[in-house]
Amino acid sequence: MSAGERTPILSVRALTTELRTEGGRFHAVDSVSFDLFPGEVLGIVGESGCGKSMTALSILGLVPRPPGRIVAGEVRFEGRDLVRLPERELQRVRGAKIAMIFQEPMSSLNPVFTIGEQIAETLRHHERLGRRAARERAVELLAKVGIPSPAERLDSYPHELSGGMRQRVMIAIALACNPKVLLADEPTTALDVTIQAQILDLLQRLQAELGMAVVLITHDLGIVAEFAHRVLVMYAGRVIEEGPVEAIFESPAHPYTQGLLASLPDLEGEIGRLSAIPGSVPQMGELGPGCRFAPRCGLVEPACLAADPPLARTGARAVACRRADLAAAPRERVA
Amino acid sequence: MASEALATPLEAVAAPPKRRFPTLRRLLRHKLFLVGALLFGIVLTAALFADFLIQVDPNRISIRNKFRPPGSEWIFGTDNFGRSQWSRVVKGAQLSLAIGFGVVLLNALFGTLLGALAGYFRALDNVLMRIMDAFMAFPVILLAIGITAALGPGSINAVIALAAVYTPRTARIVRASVLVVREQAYIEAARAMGASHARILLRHVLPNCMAPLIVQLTFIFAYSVLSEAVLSFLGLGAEPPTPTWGNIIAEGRLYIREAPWITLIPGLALAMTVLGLNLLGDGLRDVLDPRLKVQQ
Amino acid sequence: MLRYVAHRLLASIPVLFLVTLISFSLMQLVPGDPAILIAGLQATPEEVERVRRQLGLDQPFHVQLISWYAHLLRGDLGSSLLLGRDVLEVILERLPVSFSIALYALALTVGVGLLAGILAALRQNSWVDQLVMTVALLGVSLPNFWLALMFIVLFAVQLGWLPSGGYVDFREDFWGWLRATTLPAVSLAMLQMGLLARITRSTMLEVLRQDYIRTARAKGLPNHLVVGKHALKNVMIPVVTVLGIVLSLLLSGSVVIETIFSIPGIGSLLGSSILRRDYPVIQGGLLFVATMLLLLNLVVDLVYAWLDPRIRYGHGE
Repeated sequence: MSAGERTPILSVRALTTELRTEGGRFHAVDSVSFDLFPGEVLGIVGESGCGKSMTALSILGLVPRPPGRIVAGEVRFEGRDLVRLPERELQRVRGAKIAMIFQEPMSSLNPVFTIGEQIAETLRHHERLGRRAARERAVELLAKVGIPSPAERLDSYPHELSGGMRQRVMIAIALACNPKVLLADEPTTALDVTIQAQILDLLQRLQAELGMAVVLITHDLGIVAEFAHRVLVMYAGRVIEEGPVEAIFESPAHPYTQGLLASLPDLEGEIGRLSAIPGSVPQMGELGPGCRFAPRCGLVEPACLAADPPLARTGARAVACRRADLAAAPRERVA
Repeated sequence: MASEALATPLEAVAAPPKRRFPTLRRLLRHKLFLVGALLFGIVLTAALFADFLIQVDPNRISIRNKFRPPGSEWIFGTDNFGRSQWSRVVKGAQLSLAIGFGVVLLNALFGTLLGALAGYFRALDNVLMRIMDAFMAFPVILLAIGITAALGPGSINAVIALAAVYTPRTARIVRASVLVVREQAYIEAARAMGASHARILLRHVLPNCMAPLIVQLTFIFAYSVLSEAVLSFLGLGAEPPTPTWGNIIAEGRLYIREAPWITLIPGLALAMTVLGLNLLGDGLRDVLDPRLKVQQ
Repeated sequence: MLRYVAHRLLASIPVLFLVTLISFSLMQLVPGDPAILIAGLQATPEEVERVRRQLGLDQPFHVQLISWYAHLLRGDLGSSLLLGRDVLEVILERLPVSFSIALYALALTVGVGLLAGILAALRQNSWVDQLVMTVALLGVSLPNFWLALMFIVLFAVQLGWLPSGGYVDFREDFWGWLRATTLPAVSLAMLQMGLLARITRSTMLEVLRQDYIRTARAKGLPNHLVVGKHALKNVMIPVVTVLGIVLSLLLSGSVVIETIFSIPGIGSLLGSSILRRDYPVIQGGLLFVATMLLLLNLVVDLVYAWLDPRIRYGHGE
């Protein structure tokens, strides 16, 4: 099934978000474009600081206003551009049509309100449910996310729950109004490994059940391999590769993606040195005019330093690398 | 080929130049800190060079010159005794700042001592903190007037009273820092190497508690100047005819209709001093307390 | 919560004991012979002796201490040297006066200070913020007694809107009470309003940075709910703890403010007792005020514990 046949539910075009710091102004999200199709799980991977979280925040207009703002691009959803939508309208979309869950379950819930209240208020606000109806629905939701004794738990405070349970509550809140899109920003990073698996299973189950489209942001390739249908690879604020999960893992086109996959320890092969990508992620103020990955790239040539390569599409895949066709070979070829 | 490719631009990006005294530079860039420094600086200069700035003796009575408004002849005007208000207010600056400084010094000494002992030795903590709490149960001015009532009026007694009143608050701040620093790994390392408690406290713990202490002492300076003014307004500070801002205001109160400048000017002087100190304290806190560095 | 309450109550007892001890010790601080000081330099030896016996100064230290506590337990704070009346009686008489003004000042502090702080935080770095913070800074820096005098000159002398002193019982004439107490209450509250505005602003800014506020926005809640419900409750918690300091400062300020406005409250009582060396009143007054403050702080702590579910329900994990 090629991308052209379905209509995307969410369409991001040239989204650019600027951040101001003491070091200066730079684009945390630089001309990012992608489509999200109904019912699919799109993984966004990249190292810390590559702009993946910012992209999600930008979609919902949640970028913290003093240091950051969206300066260009559009986000099309249900025939409207979310970037240009007035705040009031955007509030109707948030939580109801597009929901988001975050990385830190410990601090993402308000400590002075019960979890029941925090779930119910979404329902009361978006779906105009009365108190009793909202409470009942909240109990159902808690049960759905796998919290035992949901009716009693309703009146618990966040500090009385473990990290995994809090994340389940966050999911319950997000799903309360049956959103069409779920943005999950590193939902399991802060949890223990065993809990991680449980939460991801839960997400997968719910996604299949409700037919939501999910944007799963993570730095963990393993999670992407297991749960995503398509993958976006980001580096220094840009999308540098895109494609179906199997294809990307099989034959990564961009040298960075190759590097990422090569650095995964091989369970079956011989024991050798772990390969790492030399150098480190550039500081945002230090970017040159050329390809951002050039300083660390094994295939760099002079043309790479002159201009940033655009994202070139062929069928279901896209890659932003001048030497991509050469590099579209099996995994070994990195340096 | 490969090694060549790898040896590219990583080195080309020059490291930013290292700058010395980063904290001092940040302070000097903090606008409100500079305003505070200016305001307090003016008062400090007046206090330090009071004797050079005064031409007429502050206590010199000249009845024929009474109630002169501020003008070219008498910069701050005169009072009911014809005394030069300029001389009195400037001289008052000397005393007010001296008292403030005295209180700060005593606070630094005893507050640090008590706070360090309470924070470091768990056995002493409970006892010391209960005593501090008991002192803090009395409102500041009330305790100060209680002590000065017992000891008698005068500047030295005012210093003792105010030092006693504010020391528990300083001790609290020091204790809080010590409690945190005490748990650090390098303290354990020092202990493991056989350092004595005294050495650990002096060399390792206290230097790391300086920042909040300095901020607190700046504010204490401000509070003491204000409190001393209240005390002398009530008649508990330096005895007349020695001028303090507080007792000038008290005396001027009777003539507030015919000569409002007598009350007005010392009040402004007080405001300038306390405002300056508050701004200095705010600036210091912004720069020295890393938690609050986010906003810009 | 119950455990917290019990713990706080228990912790207060030794502090209360120390407070009584400190109050007692004040008399011992007097250098020289207090009896002579009190009786005055012109007093005859018999008068000095009478004062000495009346205050029990002729007894050894430990007897004085025991006697002090014996009296305390009977609710006897001694008797005023000048008024010849029971100290406690005089204090209780003046309590409603001081209390009504303190309440007025507190209402201003919370009403104006809190709102100003919230407003400044919501409009951070705007002209509103700068204005509020400047006024707050001035409030904290200007001496309250001087401000009081300036207010008198402006509002009483020049404009004649409000009286320059005196007190009217609110039970007899409410509007008269309001007119008489407005200038004193405002002078008294300036410092606290400034303090509360500053602290509320920084607390609000801190709270608005928290993850749970981001979650609230992500849920699509409108701004008035995000701030008015989610942020506000979290702001109130640290602000409540400041109330203890505010109360203490109000009591501190009352001495000089009541003196200036000739208000017959506890503050002016203490003020005049110092100059007249009426030690029993000073001792008794200090003890009374400190005890009251301890109790009020206890109440503040309880409110704080009640507001914060982490303390109310204990730690779950």
